[in-house]
Amino acid sequence: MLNFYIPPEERSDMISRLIISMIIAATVTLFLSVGRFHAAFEQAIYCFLIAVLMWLFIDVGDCMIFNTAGKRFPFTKKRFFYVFIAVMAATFSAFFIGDSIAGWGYLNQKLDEAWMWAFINFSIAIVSIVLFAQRQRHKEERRLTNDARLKLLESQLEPHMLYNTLANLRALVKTDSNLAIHMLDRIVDYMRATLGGSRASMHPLNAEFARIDDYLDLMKLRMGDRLSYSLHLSPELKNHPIPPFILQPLVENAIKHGLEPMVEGGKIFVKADIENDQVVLEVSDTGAGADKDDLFKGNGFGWTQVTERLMTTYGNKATINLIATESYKTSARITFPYIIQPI
Amino acid sequence: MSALPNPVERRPTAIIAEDEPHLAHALKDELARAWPELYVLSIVGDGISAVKQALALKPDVMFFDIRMPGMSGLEAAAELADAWRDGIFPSLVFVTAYDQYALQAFDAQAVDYLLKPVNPHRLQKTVVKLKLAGLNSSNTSVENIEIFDQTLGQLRHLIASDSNMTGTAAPLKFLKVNIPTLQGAIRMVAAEEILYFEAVDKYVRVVAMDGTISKEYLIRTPIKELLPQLNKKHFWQIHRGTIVRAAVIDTVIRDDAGKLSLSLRGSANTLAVSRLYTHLFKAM
Repeated sequence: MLNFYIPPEERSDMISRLIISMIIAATVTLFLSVGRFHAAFEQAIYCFLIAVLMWLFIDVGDCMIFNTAGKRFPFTKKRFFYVFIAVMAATFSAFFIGDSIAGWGYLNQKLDEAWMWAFINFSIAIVSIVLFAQRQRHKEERRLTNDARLKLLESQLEPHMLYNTLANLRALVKTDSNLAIHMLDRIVDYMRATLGGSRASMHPLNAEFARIDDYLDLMKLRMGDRLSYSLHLSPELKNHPIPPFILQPLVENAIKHGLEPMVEGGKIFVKADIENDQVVLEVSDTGAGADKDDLFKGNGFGWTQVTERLMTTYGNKATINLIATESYKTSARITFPYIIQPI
Repeated sequence: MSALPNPVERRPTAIIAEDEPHLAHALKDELARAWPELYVLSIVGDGISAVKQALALKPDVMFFDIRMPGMSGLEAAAELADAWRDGIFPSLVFVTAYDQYALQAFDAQAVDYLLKPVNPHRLQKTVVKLKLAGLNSSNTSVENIEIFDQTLGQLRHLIASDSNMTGTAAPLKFLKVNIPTLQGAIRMVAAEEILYFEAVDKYVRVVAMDGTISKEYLIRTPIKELLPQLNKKHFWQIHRGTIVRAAVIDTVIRDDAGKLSLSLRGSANTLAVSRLYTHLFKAM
C-alpha cells in the first residue's frame, strides 16, 4: 500500500535533498557544457530532468512505498533493489521526456550512452545514500550524548536533594536568617558549578573540592550531627586538572549508601594526594559499608559514569576501586598519572 | 516543653518523625499556627524510634517523613499497624520532598500526604481533614475498624508501588543458590520447589524442597528485588520480610490477640502474617 502522508519533518528533509540534487544537476550541466555553451540549455534540460525524477522516484518513492518516514536506516535488500529500479526508471523517463523537448535522440540513436548514464546515476545515488546514512548516524550520536548529559544534570540536581534543601532554607529564613543566607550562598555556588561546569572537559582539583565542600556543607545543614566531614587537598595538586564530576558522584554515594541508612550517621573524608607519581583521590565513609557484590557492581549510575569518564580521559592508566579499610567501612579510590606541569 | 495537656479536655496529640532537625521544627511551628490545640508529644529522627514512641504515647496523628534512616516512613507505618494493640490507630500523614509515590492518588482518603517544603494552605487542608477524622473516631468501634482497614489497604498500595519502582524484572524460573556443604557448587532451585523466602539481616533465607525434604539456602537478593520477579498469583507477600508460595500453605491459625500465622506443607516452621496482609486470609 502506498502511504501518501509524509510527516512535516521528513518533508523538510526531502526538500533539502531535492535542492542538493539540483545543485548536482547544475554542476554536471556546467561540466558537460565546457566548450559547447550553445548546447548548455538542452544539456540542462536532461540533467535537471534526471535530478528531479531520481529524487522523486528514490526519495519520495521509497518513503511512500516502504513507509520509511523518519526511519530511513538501516537499508534493507528489498529497498536497495528498489533504488536500482528507480534509477533506471528515472534515467530512461528523463531521456524520453528530454528527447521530446530538446531532441538529442538518446533513446533512438545513442542508447549505449543512455545506459552509461543510467549506471553513473546509480553510482551517484549509492554514494548519496551512504553519505546521508553517515550524517544520520552522527545526528543520532549527538542526540545520545545530549541525553547522557541531561541524565547527568538530573542526577546532580536530584529533585529529592533540591526540594529538601529548599525546605530547610524555608525553615531557616524564620529561625536563623544568617544561617539561611549562608545556605543560600552555598546553593548558588553549587548550582553555578553544576550548571556551568558540565561543559568544560577538565577543571582544576580545587574547583572540584570547592563544589564538594558546597555539597557537603548543604548536607551538613540538613543532616545536623548525623554528618561530619573533612577534606584534604594536597597543596601541589590544587591546580592539577581532572575531569569534572569525578569525585562528586562518589561523595553522593557515600551519603546515600553510606550515611543515610545509618540512624547515627557517620563521617566522610575526601582526600587528594600524590603517591608514586600517581594522583590518588579517596572518598571514604564510616557508614553502612558496601557488600562484596557491590564492590564489583559499583553502585548504580554514579559509579558507572565515573568509571566511563576516567576511561575516556586516561584509558587504562587510571584505576578505580571500592575497598574497605580499618578506619572506613567504604573507601572509593581513584588513581591516575600525576602531570608534572599543571595548568 | 509546654505544660502537659489537661486530662479533662484532652488535646489532640501528634508525633513527628523526620530525620532533618530543621524540617522537624519547622513542621512543628507550622502546626502550632495551623492547629494551636495540637500537642506535639515528641519529635523522632528515624523509623524505629517512631514506632516505639507511637506505641508508648498513642498519639492521634503520626507525621512520617518517607525517607528516613534505618526504616522508611512507609515501613515504619506498616510496622506500627502490625504492633498496634488497642485504642484508635493514629491518622497517618506522610511528608516527602519528591512525590515518587504518586501520593496524590490518596488525596482525600484516610492517609494524607504533604510535600516539602510544606505549604501553609495545604497544611490547613490536612488539619481540617485530621480534625474531621478525630470527630469520627469517637463513634463506634466497628467504624474505627473500618477506617483502620482502609488505612491498611492504602499502606499496602504504597508499599507495593514502592517495590514496583524497582522495575518489572523477568519472571524467576530458577533460583541459583550456593550449596552450603559443597564449596563452589550451585543448585538450581525451580520456582515450584520453593516453600518460602524470609529476610534475615542482609540475607534472604530460601526454604525449598529437595526431593521429599525441605532445605535452607541463603541468597543476597533482597525481598524488594525478588517481589517483581515472582508471579503474584503463586507467591504471596505476608510480611515485610516474608514471601510464601500460596500452594504450600496448609492452615491459617488465629491467636487470642487476633494475629495470624501459617503452617506449611513440607516445613515444620510457622510463619507470622503481618496485619497489612491479613486480607489475604479472610474466611470465605
